[in-house]
Amino acid sequence: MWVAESYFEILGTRFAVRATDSEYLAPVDRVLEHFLLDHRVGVPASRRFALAEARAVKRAVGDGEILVYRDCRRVGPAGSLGSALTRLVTSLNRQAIDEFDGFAVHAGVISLDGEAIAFPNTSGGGKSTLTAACVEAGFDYVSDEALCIDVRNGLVIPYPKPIALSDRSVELLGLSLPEMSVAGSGLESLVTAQDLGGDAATSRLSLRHIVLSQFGHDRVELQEVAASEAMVALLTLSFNHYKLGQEAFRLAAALASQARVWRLFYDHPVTAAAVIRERLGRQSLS
Amino acid sequence: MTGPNWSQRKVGPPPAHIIETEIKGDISLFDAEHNQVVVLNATASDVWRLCDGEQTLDEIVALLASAYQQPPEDLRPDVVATVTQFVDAGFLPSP
Repeated sequence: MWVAESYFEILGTRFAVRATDSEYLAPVDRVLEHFLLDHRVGVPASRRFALAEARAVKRAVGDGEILVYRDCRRVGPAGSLGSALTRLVTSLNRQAIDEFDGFAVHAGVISLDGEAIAFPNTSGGGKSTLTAACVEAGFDYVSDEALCIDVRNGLVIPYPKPIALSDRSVELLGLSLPEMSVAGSGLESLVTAQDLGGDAATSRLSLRHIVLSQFGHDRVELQEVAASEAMVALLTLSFNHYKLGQEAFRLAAALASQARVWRLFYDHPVTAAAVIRERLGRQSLS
Repeated sequence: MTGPNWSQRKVGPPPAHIIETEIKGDISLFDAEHNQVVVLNATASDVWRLCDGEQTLDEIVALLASAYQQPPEDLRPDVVATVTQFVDAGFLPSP
């Protein structure tokens, strides 16, 4: 039944994804290319995912509909290959962050010349759209989901998962529909840094700026604020501070101390990205 | 907290589960038992630095009055209010 299988290492956790058709796996390998392993590895059942043609296991579905499984359990309803891809990546992302042994914070992250800029924000707060706009403006892509910190040295671990954009975000950015678009489905479409004309960061980075962003204002304004504001944001938006206890507090304080902290009000992600490029780009650092 | 001899008692030190850090001049406190963070403003930070178990409330008021060059009686209500908040929040033991 399974004709193709790929292996990935995401934030230190290894996953296997197999498919009933090699065509199903090609887009998975493409959007997760930075995590793709070139060799077979042993993976426990809880980290095995599968893409299967729905007709092979269930009759009342349309031609070409795909099901996603994790450890033999279905992840969502049957759908197009694009929607299966989104469901698969969402599940992988959730599990990879859950198993990550560092400090992880809800944030978009970009970089320039080895220095990272993070936008801590809640889900739905616009971090993916702002991150994508910054990649289009010339920054390297680090993550649209999580600021991942190595607790041993405080460095940023790049997590360049595919950027998940809603229909509204695609419209705001003026993008053409992504290859595996799921427009109109209520799911988010996936794009890579390359799709946006940029690159993904692959080396560890020092955190240089923390930008607390608020979309929905009638202007773009970037003002420096107290570092303690960033510390509170890093802790309250953390995925896993409860696992680290006071180590998370000390780490958040150290990150806030080493970075410059800004509050950004903006009306449009593209104009915000231009301001970030102008004010926080490498040539502006001193 | 407001008993007759309270002014003469040492204030602090904080219990072991209260972790303190300073970020560019601002003191932040982490309550490791309740997983809570508080960021102190500049005045509260000055009061906190003196709540180390070495000074009484009267001595803290006197030290701050000297530093701020203000009459102790003007500062005392704010210092008492700040220390009371620290105690009520569990960041300091009750004197």
